[in-house]
This record gives sequence, C-alpha cells and structure tokens, in this order.
Amino acid sequence: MSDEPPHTDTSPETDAQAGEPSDSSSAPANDDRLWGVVNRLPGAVYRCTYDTEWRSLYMGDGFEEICGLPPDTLDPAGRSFKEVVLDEDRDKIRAQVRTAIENRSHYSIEYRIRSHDGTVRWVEDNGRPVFNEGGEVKWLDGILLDITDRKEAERSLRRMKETLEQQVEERTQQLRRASALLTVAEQRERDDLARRLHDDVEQFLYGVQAQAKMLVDGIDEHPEVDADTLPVEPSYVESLLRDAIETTRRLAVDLSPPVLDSDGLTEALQWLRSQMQQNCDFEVVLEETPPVLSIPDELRMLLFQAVRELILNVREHAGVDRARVRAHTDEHEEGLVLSVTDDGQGFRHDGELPDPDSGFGLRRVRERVRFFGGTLDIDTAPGEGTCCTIRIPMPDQHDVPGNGEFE
Amino acid sequence: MPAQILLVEDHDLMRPSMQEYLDREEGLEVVAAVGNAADAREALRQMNGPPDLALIDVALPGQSGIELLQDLRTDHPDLRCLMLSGHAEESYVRAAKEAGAKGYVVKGKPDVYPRAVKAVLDGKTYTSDAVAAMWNRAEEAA
Repeated sequence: MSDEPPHTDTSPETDAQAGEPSDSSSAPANDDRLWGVVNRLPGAVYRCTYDTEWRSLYMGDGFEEICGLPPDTLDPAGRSFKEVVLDEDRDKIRAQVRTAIENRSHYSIEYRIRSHDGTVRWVEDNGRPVFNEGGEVKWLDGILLDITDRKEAERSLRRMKETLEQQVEERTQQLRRASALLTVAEQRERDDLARRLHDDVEQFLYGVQAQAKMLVDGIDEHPEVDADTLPVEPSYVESLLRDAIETTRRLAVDLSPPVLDSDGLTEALQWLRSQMQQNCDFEVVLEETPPVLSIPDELRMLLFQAVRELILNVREHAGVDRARVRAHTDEHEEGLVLSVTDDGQGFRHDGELPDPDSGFGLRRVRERVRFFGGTLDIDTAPGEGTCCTIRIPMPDQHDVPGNGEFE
Repeated sequence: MPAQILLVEDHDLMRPSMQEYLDREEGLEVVAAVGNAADAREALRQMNGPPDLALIDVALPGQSGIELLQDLRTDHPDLRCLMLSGHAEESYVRAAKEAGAKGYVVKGKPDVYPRAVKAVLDGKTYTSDAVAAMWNRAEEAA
C-alpha cells in the first residue's frame, strides 16, 4: 500500500483531456451542475487514499443517507473510512483493491459498514484506482451503493430456499422410510400368505392325497369293482392332487422365497435363476453378480422383486426365453446398478410406460424404485430388444427403519 | 408282531390319513398319533417302553419337530426317528441330520411313506429324492 499523505480537498475533479478526475485535488467550485449531478446519484461518490486507513478525500452527500453519518465527519484529519467498515470485511476489501491495482482494472466489492445508530448496512463499492504518471496509485475513486435491502432480500430468499430444501429433504426421507416400511410390510404379507398356503392348504391336500391313495388302493384290492365303470379314472384324481400340491407349493415359494430371509442379493438372484429354469423353462444369465455389499433387507427385497418383475415381463411380452442380468456398483461406488436385457421384440417407448393393468409391471417397478431414490431407465425399440436399468443409491443405515419399527 | 410307530403330525386331516395309511401296511402299527411335542412325550410316558420308530413332522406348533427329535434322541438313544416335512429345505434337512434323524421324507408322495418307514426300521437311512443331495452334504459336513 502506498503511504500517500492525506489530501485535504473534499471534492473530486475531472481531467479535461481524459474525462476523468484530474490530478489536482482542488475542486472547481463554480461547477454547480457537476456537484448537483454527483450528489443526486443514488449512493455516495467518494475519493479516498490508498493506504491502511482509506482516508476520505471526498465523500458525497449520499453517504449520510446510507449510514446516517454526514460526509464531513470523514475527513483526512479525523475519522477514516476504514473505521466505519466492519473489521471482518477489511481484508476482503484490501485483497480485491490490490487485485484491481495489479490488473489496472475496476473493483466491485460488497461489504458492511457500521451506521451512525450502530446498525449494519451493506454497500456495494464500485471503484477504480487512479494512477499518476509514475504508475503509482494516487487515490481510489468510486461510488458506494446501499444494497442493504437487496442483501436482506437475498438472505431471506436464501433462508426460504434452505427451509424449502430442508423440507424437501425431510419429505424425501419420510417417503423413503414409508416406502421401505411398505416393502417390508408387503413382503410380510406375502410371507404370511405363503405360510398359510403351506400350513393349511398344502397340508390339507397332503391329507386328501393320502385318503385318495387309500381309495385307489382299495379299488385295486377289490376285483369285484370294475374300474372301467367308474366315472373318473382313480389315477387321474391322484394326478390332479399332485398338480394341486405342486402348484400350491410353487405359489408359496414364489410369494415368499426362502432365500430372501437370510441370504444376500447374489444368492437371491441365483435362486431366481434356478426357479425360472425349473418352473418356467426360462433361462436367466447372470452376467455379473452383485458386489458383496451390506444391503438393508427392504432394499434387497425391492431389488429382488423388481428384477423378478422385469424377468417375468421378458417372458410374457418379449417373445424370447432368455434374459441377461447384470449387477454392479455405479462409477462412484455409491449405488447399485442392475439391468435386465433381452433380445426380444422390444416396443415403442416414448417415455410413457404401459399401464400396469395391461400386464406390464414396468410402471410399478419404476414407481417403487423411485420411492427409494432410484431410477428405472428403459432402452428399447420395436425389433431391437429391451434393456431395463435400475440405478439405486445405497441408503445410510439411519435412513431405513429398523426391525423395531414393525413391532 | 407289527413294528410300533409314534406319529407326530399336527394337521388334523393329514394325521388320521397318515395313521390309516400306515396301519393298512402289513407289519406296521401306529400306536399313538398326536399333534404336538408335549402330547408326544405324554404318549411315550404311557407306553411300556419306546416304540420302534417315531415319525415326526418338522413343523409343529410350539416346540418344533427338530427340537422334539433332539429331546427324544437324548431320552431314548435307540429310538429311530424319521422326519416328515413339506419343506425340502437344506437348513431343515441339515438340522434333522445333525439331531440324529434316520431319514427325511418330503410330503406329497404317499407311496413313499410306508417304504421309508420300513427302510428305517430295517436299519437303513431313507431320504426323498428332493432332499437326497442335501442329506449327503450334511453327512459330508459332519
């Protein structure tokens, strides 16, 4: 900083040739029009020393409007401009003025000043350094604009935005928690239904089967009974019962895959592959199995159900008997990516998904995945096959409900 | 004298059906058919010595079939126990094997029931096809 001696003049002047304040520190006292213009400008025009104190060489009348201090209370012999600037903002001002000097450019700085009544006002200081022929800074010229109202409005807006963002975040968390609860509750309902199927319907069918077997054996043991005269072939009844038992058993397993109880996502997908092969003669190729991650139960259930739904979609609508499944972490290793791809007939996709009632489960999958903060992308075209990709963030452990919440 | 069987099966239709089915088989007699572990113990207390075989459903209300099996094997080490289940699940099969069962029959094929019982009475092991590999794995792990 320069240590220029304080000037005693209190008015700016112009350089007739350059159209800028001249080197002279004496004001043209007769130029009333200029002063009229200067003092009618919104804000306060100033000139001050470039030193540690920023002593005022001139301060326009607008200064009093900004902070209640008459401009002549700032003079080279008395109170410096630095004194009205808040301590914590001074370094910022110095740094930006220094940069403007180095670049020989303007500066525009927002900072706070202490007003006459002790309140803090915000000003925007647009100024420039003025140099002498030797390239040294003579003083700083600028204009201070009162931006307190704008700053208040910005701060209010920022607070509102923060509040809004916080509310959105809270609602999102609530939605995710609700979705997690719903997924678990839904699976529990399925488990319960499966248990009833197994414990009641299936056991009942075993009993009927044993009774039917005795009936068939009884018929066989009595030669006087002509089996051909019976309206139904006894072995056909046995066969129907076997089918009924098998269907019930399969339904119970589909509703409540035992692998979901304790194993990871990899095991669940491997189990799904074997079930699809065994029960539907449908091939599922696991091209890449999920990384070993600690996945919360409800997310594991969701992903398993989503992949199963997508595979069943392929089987029902794609016209092929094979699908490929990939699972891996995303590029930031913060989320999971699962894709189900087929080489089937594809479909026209313009962003809207077919209604779930039409048999497609895509919309249902997308809605459920979205509740967990994830996305479902569909890449397809008629004759081009389909690739459905689920991207889902791994939730923080505190974001998901614990078991206790269900008790 | 027919081999005496204790049947522990909780389903009200399956239990009498199974009893009747086994009773019809020559050389077999169901001496008690009960629906839970407590009744099974009570039935054993009232017998003059343990039966030749206990046929136990894995899923029983209250104390499970596996737990009953463990208790029976402790109290009557020579009692042959055959497990019966609708679940062809590895964890159940392994638990049954570890607890000392002589076989594991998956429900759904009535022909198999007396065959399995007779095989175990003859000192053999019997497992349904659906769980044979699981039983073998449990055996290898033991």
